[in-house]
Amino acid sequence: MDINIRKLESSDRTTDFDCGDAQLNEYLKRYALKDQRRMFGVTYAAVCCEEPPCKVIGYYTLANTSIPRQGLPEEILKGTPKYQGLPAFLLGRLAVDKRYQGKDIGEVLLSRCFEHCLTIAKVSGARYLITDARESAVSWYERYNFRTIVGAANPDSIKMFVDLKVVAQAIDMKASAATTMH
Amino acid sequence: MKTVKFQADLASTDEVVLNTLMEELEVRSKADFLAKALALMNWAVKEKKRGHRIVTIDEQGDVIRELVTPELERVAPEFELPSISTTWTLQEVESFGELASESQPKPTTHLIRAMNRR
Repeated sequence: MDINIRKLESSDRTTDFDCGDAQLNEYLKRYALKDQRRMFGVTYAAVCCEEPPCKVIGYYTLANTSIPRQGLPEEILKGTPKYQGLPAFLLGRLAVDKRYQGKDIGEVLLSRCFEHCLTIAKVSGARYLITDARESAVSWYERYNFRTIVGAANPDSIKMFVDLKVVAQAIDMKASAATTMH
Repeated sequence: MKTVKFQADLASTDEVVLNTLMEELEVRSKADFLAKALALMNWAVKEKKRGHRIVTIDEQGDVIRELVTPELERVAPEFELPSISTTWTLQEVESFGELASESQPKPTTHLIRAMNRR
């Protein structure tokens, strides 16, 4: 199966996408393209194009965001402009169709997301990738060095972050040299 | 697979190049050659969309030439991102600050695998 990851296009088939989460399904089907046009978010889709139209089998959304300055230690804020929050990336949503789960497509999507962030970080200076994870997805994100931020107002929307410096270190490292995070 | 007919006029000098390339690449038909050329151009466009440059590298790993064409330069990287504000509780900001100040854990096996899938 040949999978391509690129920006979501209006011709892509999303009608039968089902990741098992109604909100994530609905976002893809009803709002992803609208948000993209209005520049509220960019959706990258994993598409299978064996037969036209290309079928979406997974997606993620990415945006710029910022972390409020108030409450952050000075050592983190050092060198950042005083009038704004700490720049970061926001991985808004990540979902894979149920029929394609267990085939590492989530990992492929996440690795492409990291790649995007690292490329943009070279010009924009953001260092952290933030996500709001469902409780059930926390352990999955932890496998990829995301760390859990405590203090969420909503217990089913848990903020997590990963330092893109760690992601950059992982490039070209041999798997045998890795350590598992606990 | 459904196919479409395609006809093109080529300068005679381009025809010589075409025939030489077909021979060198051992491509039997012009249709096959066109499909391969299309795949190569498609790859180049995708790389540009990812914000990458297309270069040749010598045996020592040094970049010796970069492919720059007006057409490829028109391909904008797909990296313009909108900005979204998110709500943070003070406790979340403090928790982030504490975690981000620590030395970060080394890349996990999953992360290393993910970043070396390319």
